[in-house]
Parts: sequence; structure tokens; C-alpha cells
Amino acid sequence: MVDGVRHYDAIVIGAGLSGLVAAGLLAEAGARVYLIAKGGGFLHFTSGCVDVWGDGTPNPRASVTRVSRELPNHPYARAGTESLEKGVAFFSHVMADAGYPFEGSLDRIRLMPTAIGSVRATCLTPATMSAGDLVDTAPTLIAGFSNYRDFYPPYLAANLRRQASINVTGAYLDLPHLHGRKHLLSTDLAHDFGNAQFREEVGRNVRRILGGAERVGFPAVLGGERAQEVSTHLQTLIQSSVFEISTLPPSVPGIRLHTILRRSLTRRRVRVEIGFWTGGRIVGTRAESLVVRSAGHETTYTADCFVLATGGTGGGGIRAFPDGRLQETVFDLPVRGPNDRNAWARAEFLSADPQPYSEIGLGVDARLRPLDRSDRAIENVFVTASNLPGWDPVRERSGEGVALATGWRVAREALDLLGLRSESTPVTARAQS
Amino acid sequence: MYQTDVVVIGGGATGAGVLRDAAMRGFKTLLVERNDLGTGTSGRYHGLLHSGGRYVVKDSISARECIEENRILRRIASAAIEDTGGLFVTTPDDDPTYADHFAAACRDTGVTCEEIPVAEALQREPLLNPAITRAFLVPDGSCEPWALIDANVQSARDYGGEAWPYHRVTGFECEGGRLTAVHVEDVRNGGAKTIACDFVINAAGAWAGQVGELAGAPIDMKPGKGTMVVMNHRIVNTVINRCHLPGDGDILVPVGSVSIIGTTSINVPDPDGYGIEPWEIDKMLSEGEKLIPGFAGTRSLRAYAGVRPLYSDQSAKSAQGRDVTRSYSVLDHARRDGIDNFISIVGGKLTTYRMMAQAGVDMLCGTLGLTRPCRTAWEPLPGSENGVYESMAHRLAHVEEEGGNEIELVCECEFVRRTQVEQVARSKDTHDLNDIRRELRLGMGPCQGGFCTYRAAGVLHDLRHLSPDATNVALTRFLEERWKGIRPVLWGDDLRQIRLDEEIYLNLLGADRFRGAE
Amino acid sequence: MSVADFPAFEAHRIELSTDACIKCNVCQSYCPVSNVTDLFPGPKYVGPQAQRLRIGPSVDHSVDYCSGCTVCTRVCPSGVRIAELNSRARAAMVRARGGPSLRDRLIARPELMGQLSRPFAPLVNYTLQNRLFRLALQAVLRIDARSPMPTFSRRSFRAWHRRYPYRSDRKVAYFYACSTEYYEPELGEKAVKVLERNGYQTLLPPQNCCGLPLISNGDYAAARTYAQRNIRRLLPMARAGIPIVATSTSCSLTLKQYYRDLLDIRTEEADLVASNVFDICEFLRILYERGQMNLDFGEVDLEVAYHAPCQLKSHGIGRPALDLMELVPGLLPIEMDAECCGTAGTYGYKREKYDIAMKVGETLFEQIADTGAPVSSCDSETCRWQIEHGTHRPSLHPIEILLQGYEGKA
Repeated sequence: MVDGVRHYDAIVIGAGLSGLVAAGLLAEAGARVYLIAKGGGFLHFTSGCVDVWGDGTPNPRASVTRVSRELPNHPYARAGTESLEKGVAFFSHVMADAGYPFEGSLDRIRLMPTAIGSVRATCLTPATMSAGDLVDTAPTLIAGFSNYRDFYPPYLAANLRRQASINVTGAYLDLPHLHGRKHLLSTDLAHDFGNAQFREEVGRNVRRILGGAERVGFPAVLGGERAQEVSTHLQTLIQSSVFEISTLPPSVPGIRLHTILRRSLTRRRVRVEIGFWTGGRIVGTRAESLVVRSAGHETTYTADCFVLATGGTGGGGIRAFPDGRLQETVFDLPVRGPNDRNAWARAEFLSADPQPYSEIGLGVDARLRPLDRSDRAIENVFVTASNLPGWDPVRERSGEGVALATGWRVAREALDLLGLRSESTPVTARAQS
Repeated sequence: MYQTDVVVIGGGATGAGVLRDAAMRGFKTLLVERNDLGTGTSGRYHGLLHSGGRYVVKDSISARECIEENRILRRIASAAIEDTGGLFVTTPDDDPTYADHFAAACRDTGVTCEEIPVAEALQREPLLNPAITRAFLVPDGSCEPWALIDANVQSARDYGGEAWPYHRVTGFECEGGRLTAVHVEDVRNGGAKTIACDFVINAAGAWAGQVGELAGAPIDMKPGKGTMVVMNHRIVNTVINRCHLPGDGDILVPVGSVSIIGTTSINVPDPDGYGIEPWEIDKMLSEGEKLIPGFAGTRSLRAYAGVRPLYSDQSAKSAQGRDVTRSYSVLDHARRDGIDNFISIVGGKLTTYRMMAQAGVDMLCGTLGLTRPCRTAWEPLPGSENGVYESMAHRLAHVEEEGGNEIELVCECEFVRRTQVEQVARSKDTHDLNDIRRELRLGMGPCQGGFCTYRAAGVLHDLRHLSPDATNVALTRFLEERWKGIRPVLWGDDLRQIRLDEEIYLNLLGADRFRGAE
Repeated sequence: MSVADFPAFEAHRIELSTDACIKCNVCQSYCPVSNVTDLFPGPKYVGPQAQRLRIGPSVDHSVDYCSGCTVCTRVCPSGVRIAELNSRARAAMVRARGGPSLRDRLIARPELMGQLSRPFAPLVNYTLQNRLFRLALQAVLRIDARSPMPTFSRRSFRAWHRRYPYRSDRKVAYFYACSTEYYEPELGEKAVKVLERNGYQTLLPPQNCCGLPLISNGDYAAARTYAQRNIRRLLPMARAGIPIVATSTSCSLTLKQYYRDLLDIRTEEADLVASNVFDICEFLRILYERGQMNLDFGEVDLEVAYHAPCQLKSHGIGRPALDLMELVPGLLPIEMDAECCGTAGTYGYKREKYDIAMKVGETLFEQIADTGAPVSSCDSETCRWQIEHGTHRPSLHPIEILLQGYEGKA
């Protein structure tokens, strides 16, 4: 039996931040969108904040402008500062709409404590983390849970005391509710925090050890999507401000972003398919179709344009082989990077300089379209974030900023191609507001 | 000044074996090691408990030693041994006539060996090259070196022996052709110590030449580097050997939850100064392909190298690498160098560590004119009294059968429980996360410390009341130590793994940006 | 060259897929079961982690609490076949224990239960509604007294079909499954009518239970017998190029994928059958895409809360039922994003698992209630029964709603 053909205006491949945002922007402008991804997406491992540029300079926007000028191959230079502003605006809007507001500005770096008491330079944080900003030097209590293996308040506090000259103490809460619990994960605790009785138990126990602390830091497990409510309730119970600190995956604040963005897609009738490998077909300089290895037989999709948001060497979009080959996994596009595996990494893991493996990516033109082996642009494919060469999200502390900037930029390019963009589309209107 | 009968230099398997044997024979014995125990060759070998099969054709002395000790270790050290069994297989790349020589040589040397039908071998190991033509079953096993060393040291302590890790020998006091004291430097806390003694046994393995030099007794060591690649899972459950003359990359050993392919064999001038060459990795992978078609496409975890303590006496001075015998020698420096109370144990294999220790302590007794029989071949090591072989499956069974709070896995890859980490963290011998790793296999699975480094650092900080600096150093050192092994095999899933690990340690935790360290 | 190029590796691809695990925990955060109970340590633990230590005889216990919903396999960014690993580990555990319990043997054989019960259907149904009997069943067999037991139908779908007159040159074979034959013959009747509206005559090749309940209860040997018989019986249809459609997405997934991946049946015949199996909505959507679907729908003024069942999501064919429902004027399907209804086939019937299943389903039940839609819809029968049980409102197969669309016109 011959299969039918499913056609969409746009197919987005990848469920990380840039893919979800691009799909959202496209759907909002009226495009029929299909989003397909191999797995749950990179947001599950991230801090849940929006990092833009964190090299210690105070103004991320100014840093991005400087980077765009000095490093013409950096994704910021390719996407443009305007894309960053509009991408961030769209993202903030979706989050606020879902009752999970973000705070901060592109013009001020936010220094937040990490789970080992080091300092993260980020830009926007969910409101549930705001009180942790180290600009504020109020006495602080860090509270963890005695049988939760992913958060160590005494170690955190000992480091933070010196890192930020703050009066910090760390303590474990030994909660009867958690006695006998096994394999306790952040997501389990987030589930518990959804329960008012549990919050009251936490509140009572924290009150007992609060001392002179004016704010209380918890691991980032204060509820699922309703974290804002949970936080507010806890603040009432403890009578001090409360904030979350990101810790090991599964990252509850990262999952919140994923859930909110995905739900906004479902509401806009974007079909989301998670769990399948796909292979794409390019004819000449056009991507024609995508084949999904579904159960029993293959399923083919066509689209007017494709967004390749597959996450580079970290997300599985680019695979590296021992013989030095670098392969783009969907369309087999040529990859820019050293074809010698000995040139992929520095001698030190914690090196402050960019790791060469991070800088591996696809060659693209000014519109973020990938180049084929003859350096011709594939006219209906657009590339985002970690698939782009020339940056190191981790060492720059720029992951979300680049994802939002390139996500916004490829959506605009795709809408141009589809003829769907007009100045009155909600995308533009909202971004300017 | 510290006073003892015997000083043993070197905290590998041989040194630990000597410590135990001497202590059991009533000598007040102290072992010194410049690093932690088991960090030299013993901790960097492929994990094979030899049946002797590998040496039957070319090195029959070594073969006989191996099978004899194999049987003894199964009796006394079952808790450090997994009874995997071993196969020698003839692949299309091997000389088909070797198999008959092999079988005959096994008979001659007493190495237990049974030829089995190829179909049976393939049923036992389904990923094995289906083109093999012969298969022989031998009593190979795998051996966890740190468990073995720990058990020897623990047993020695029961007999009054002592071990000082992190103590480097800096020199000797020599009086009238005798070593009267050993000078050591306390590497961890700083400061020098002097140990007065009656006898010195050099069990420094590949470093025995350096120790001999300090004592004025030159030893011609030929340190031989061997590089191994750790594969992410147990590709096989039986040790697989190529049935041919020993060569590179022809042994695949299931160890714990991984398998290790080895090795290369290259003479190096300095046992501390060697690197891993890319060609060595490629060679391991391509040779592995001959045993297991598809091998090179499976995930490797890390690469490491060890140096064999090869020694060649005058008569075989020209021998190199694989041609140097794997047997051992006990050097009597009284005869050789006019130092009456000093001997060196050189050469040999981890499998024969006990026999080497016995020979050393026998010589000690002989020199002193004492008759004190060796009992190490019969008295089981602590933990091995019940004769149950080790298997990583026990860890799964334990967690599956236990209930309650105890079940909190710190290292999820290797099923290391929090209570275990706490116990080791409390021990006075534990200084950093690598000590915990060697004890429990912490961080030795697929994520290579991605999740457990932070957890173990937190536990260590809580229990040892470390300063934040000391904890930070332990954390970063562990990550960098893991990185050394990962970097040579950084492609495919390992690269994806590292990008997750760096998201955790740099981005989420900021381990690259500690400020205010003193 | 990839792993698939090596036959021995291909045969062990489920186990070997653990190699790709980077421990990222995405599976743990999605697992509906470990999110509500500590009895199940989660897919990462029982899947790729425990797998590394499965050396020698099975020592597993906790894997039994895996419901088999398959969400872990789908969300894994590394391609680890976690749910399949769990299924195989459970089968090894069951083998090591000397086979499934009497209860698991019984509930894994819906066909046998149907055959035995049909002649006495009213009596059996009466008894099954009887609270005392259910308590006795709970005490003796540990089948939870509160679980939504379907009622046996007196009628046989096959018998109805024999008298159904519609003939056409265009034919499909219908894998109607145990539930249609013994519990819900009306669904089969509606499927036949919807296919008729599209010009297709329905053939009913001889068939038996797909074997999924046996697989889920760890009885691979029995499942393999079922599978081989089905392959033999469906092969002539596949050879003749007649599409095989199914109204249960779980049964169709079993035919498409599990025979090969879980039961190790890797024959050309099995692959041919697998490649000719279609979910009924998938089939109709193909007709639509080729411009061959009958779009003559009447207005159906209805809001429907649609839940895509786990096993449908594992087909990798998108949301064909949603695509079709969107074609019916007036019909407003709303997709729920809760992962799982909790019942996972026979899981929710077990005394020790009923509460877990209901807790898992809570999110979905709440979402459905929040929509205010009078009905919900789902492609899998046990899920529908669970949803009705949890929401106290009807849950329909999408085909039933489509037929309303066609009949609204007539």
C-alpha cells in the first residue's frame, strides 16, 4: 500500500529551546507546524534561567553587541541583537502568560548562587529564583533535605560565604514525610511541594532553624508548573523570602520551561511527535521531505521549510566518529570542524577557553541557511543554536540567549519564505511591546 | 624515629602481598607507598586473572606460575575475583596451526584447557566472531586489583602490619653494607620521617630501578607501557583471548560492569613519563573487531596505560617488549651489590603477586636464618572466607532486595550506595574522591563522574568537615582525572556525555569559577 | 557502518541500545509510575543502569512495577529502548520464578476468558458486577475489586459480520482484537461502517489475540505461539497487498513492532505482515492524503477531550485520529497533554497496582474534567475503560465519533 503524504508549512526538528520557540512563533503567525524530536529536549538539563553572556561584564546586551562586532562567526553576530531582544520578549511573554514570570533585564547581569556555592552569571531568571540574586547580601539560610542526594547545603554555604561575603548557613531538613522514601529525585520533591500540607511541614521546620536569615534558598524543586504559587505560599509560611537554586538533572525549572512551551504549541494545534529518528532528503538546493522511522513502516512528511534545531554535538544533531568524521544526522549536511579527533578537546575539562568540540557546527549563510558541499545555501532549511559553529554555550554562559536569538531569527526567515510575515503579526507586535 | 623489622616499598599487589606474608610470619612490617595503594601498575592493568594459557607456548615458566597461582587465588581471594572463565579462539586472522601447539602446550604446562565446539562458544558469547574455527575453555577470570590489595593490607593489619600510603622514599641510611633506616617524605602533610629497620624489600615494580638507585643497587628495569581501552559495557561475559602468540589488543576482559581490551607493549624509559598515542586506541579497536565484529562501533569509555615492571637480567639484555619473560625474579642485593639486608622483587604479573611475595619473604627468612613457613596460600583473605566469587550482579541484588532509606545511589552507573560512600568517606585512609573510586568503583561507569562527583564531594564535605577549598580541590581533581581517560576516546556518545557533564559542572554548578580560594 | 550491519548485534539491539545512555534522567522525569510511587525506582534505574549489572540469573524485583507505557523509550534522546529492556527483564524475572502467577496467566488471556464466558455472558456479567464476587476475586486472585472490568458481550462481532452484506473491490482486512469480539462488538460494527463509507469492504481473516497481555506479564513463550499463529493467518492478506487495519493501537503496535523487537521473530513473513498493518485512523488519513477519503460529514456540534494513548504514540505516526476529527465540521477535538491514563493494559487490574494506576491517571482525569467536554476519546480500549472509570463520563473510540459525522449527514 502506498503511503500518503503529510504536508506542513514548516517542520521543526528538535525540542530544545530554539526549536520550541521557533515552532511557537511560526504557529502564532498562522503557519501549520509539525515538530518532531528524538527525545525530550535539552531543557531538561539546564538551569531554567536565560543566560545571555556571562564573562563577568555587567551588561549582557553590551557584551552581545561587542561579540557581534568582534566575532563575525558567532551566532549572535549572525542572528543580530534585535533577534535576541525579540526572542527574549516572546519567551518572557509565553512564560508570563502561563503564570511563571521571568525577571531581569538584558542590561544587567544577575549573579546567582550555584548548588556548590559558586556563582552563575545569568540574565533573566524565573521569579522563583530572584531572591537569590547576590547583589542582595541579606543573611541567608540554605535548606536541603536529608535524603535528597542532589543538594548539599553545608558545602554550598561554606563556599558561598567566601564567594560572596554573605552570612550564609546551610542545613538539612529531616522531614517525617520523606522518611523511608527511596530514590528521591528533584521531580519527586517537586510533586511533594505541590501539596499544601507538605509545604506547611517544610515551613514549620524552616521556621525552627531560620535564626536571623532574611531569605531561604532551596534546591529548585518548589513545585512543577505552579511554582510561582508554591513559592508565594512558602514565603507566607516562613515569613521570609524564598528562592530556588538549580541543581543536577532532572532540572525542575528546565522541565517547567519545556512543559509550558510545549503546551503553548499544543494549544496552537502544532503536532508534536517525540521519540523517533528522522532522515531528510535534499534535492538540489531544496529540502524535500522527512522520513520518520515509525513502527512497521516509514512515514513521510513534506514541508515548505524546515528548522534544524537538533542540538549539535551535544543534542545528537552532529555525530563525531573516531576517524575524525563529523556527520549532520538529519540531512547529512557538511559540518565545519577539525576532521582530526585529537583536535577536538583541550587538555583540561574545566578549561576557561572554548572547547573545540563546542565550536563544531554547520556552515551557514547570512540567513542561517546551511551550506551544502558546494557552498550553496539550502534555500528552505534554517539552522539554530548548537548546530551553529563558533561558540561555546557553557564557557560563554550564553546558551539560552543564542537559542532565543537564533530561534526568533529562523522563524522570521521561515515566515518570509512562507509569505506569512507582516508587520502586524503578533510576533512582531508583541516583541516590540 | 619509627622502628620496624621490615620496610616494604611499593603499595601495589606485590608490596601488599609481601606486607601480609611478612606480617603473618611474625615480622613487624611497614609498607610505604608514594601515592595511594594500587595506583601504579596494579591499578592500571587489564583486570585479567591469568589461567596461564597466554604463555603456554612461548613462556612456559610464566604459564606454570600463572595456573598454580590462579588455583590458589580462587581459594584465598574469591571476593576479588569474578569467575568468568576464558576462551582462546582462532579467528581467521590467526595461524590455524597454532591451536594444536596451544592444546599440547597446555597439557605440558598443566594449564586446564578443554576444546569446545565453535557453536557452543558462540552460544556462550553470541557477539563473538562467527568465523572462529577453534575454541578452548580455560580457567581465566577477572580480578579487581584494589579489592585484592585492600584485603591483603587488612589481613596484614590483623597480624600487626602497617601501611603508609602517600609516603615517598627519599633515601636510605647505609652503614657497613646494611640499610639501617629509610627516609620518607609525607606527601600529603609535608615533613620527613625516618624509619629504622632491619630489612628492606623493594616491591616498587616498574619503579624498582629508582628505589635501587637510592640504595646504591642499580637494577636494569625495562618498563613496558601497555595501553588499554575500557568499553562501556560487558560485550562478553567470558575472557576472550586470541589463540595465537601474544600480541597487541588480543585480550578482552569483562571486568565488573565494563570490558577492557588490551594491550599494547612498548618499552618506555621512564615509568612516569608516557602518554597514550592515538594509534594505540585505533589498534585496540581494530583488533577488537577481529574478536567481535562490530566492536569498534560500540561505545568506549576511556583509555589508560600502565607500565609493566619488566626486568631482564644480563643474559637477555637485548630482549624487548613482548620477548621479555613475564616471570619474576627476586634479587639478592647482598650477592649482587653487597647490601646485606635488601632484596628487590621484579618482573611478574598481578596473577603471581602472592608467589612473588612468598619468594621474597622466603629469601628474607633465609638471610636471617629463620624457618618460618608461608601460609598465604591457604589462609583466605578477609572477605573471601566463604569462597563466593565477586560479581557486580550482587550490587543489583542487594538494592533489589533491601528496602528503606538505605537505598540512595550516589553513583548510579555502578550502583554505589550512599551508605557505602559514607563508610569509605569516614575512613582515615580516604583523602579524596579517587580513594572512594578505587574502593567502590565510584564514577567508573558511562557518565564518568557526571552525577556522582558532586554527590560524593557533598558527602565528603559533610562527614570530614573539610574546608570548602579542600572539597573544591577534591571535586575538580576527580573531574580532571576522569577527563584524562575520556579525552583519547572522545567521540560519539562520549562526546554527548561530556557535553552533558560540562553543562552540569560548568554551567549549573560553576566548578570552573570558584572565587576567593585561599 | 553501523551496529545494524552486524547480525549478532542486530539480534541484541535492545540490550545494546544501553550503550547510548548518557544518564540524563529525561526518562525518569517523564515516567508516570515512578513519579507517583517509590515502589518503582524508575526507568533509568531498571533500564540502562540495572542492565549493566544483569550478569547471570535474574535478581530483579522492582522492574515488575514498570507499567510498560513506553514513554521512556520515546523521550530518551539517546535512543535507548528502555521500555523494551524492561519488558525483557521482566520476562527473564518471570522465567526465573518458574512462570507467571495464576492471576497473571488468566488476565493475560482475554481471548480465553471471552470464549469461556460468552455462553454465560449475562450470568458472568451479573457475577462480575457483584461486589462480593469481586472481593472474593480480589482475595483469591489479587484482581482489584475496584478496577473497571469490562462486561462480556453476548453477541459475537464475527457472527454479525458474516451477515453484513456490503461488498466492494476495495478490501481491507480487519484485526478487530479480543476486545471487539468479546466486549465491544459495536466498535467493530462502527469500524466496518466507516470503512464502507469510504468504499472499503472489510475482510475478517482468522486471527487470535495479539499476545500483548502475555508479553506485559512476562510470558514470552506463550506470546510467541500466539504471534506465530497470527503471522501465519495474516500473511495471505499481506501477500495480496490487502492492508490490515486495527482499531486497537496496542494490538497494532504489537503486530508492527513487538513481534520483532521483543519476541525476536525476525522472519521475512513477519516483516511483511508488520509493514502491512495500519492503525485504522492512520489508514483513513492516508486515504485523505491521497484525496480518496469520503469527506461527506454532517455537522457534529461536540467538544471532545482527546487522549492519545501511549501505544499510539509509539507508532510514530503523529495523531491520525486528531487529524481526522478536525475534518468533521463542528467537531472540536482538544488534545490532552497528560502522558498516560495509568492502566497500561492489565496493570491497573492488579490489586498491588490499582492505586498506582489511578494516581498516574489523575492528571489526565483532571485535564479532561477541566475541558468541560461531555465526552473523551482515545484509540485504545483499556485506556477508555480506565478514563471512563476515572472521569465518570463516556470515552469513545475516534471511529465512533467519525461515524457520528457520517450519520449526521444521512
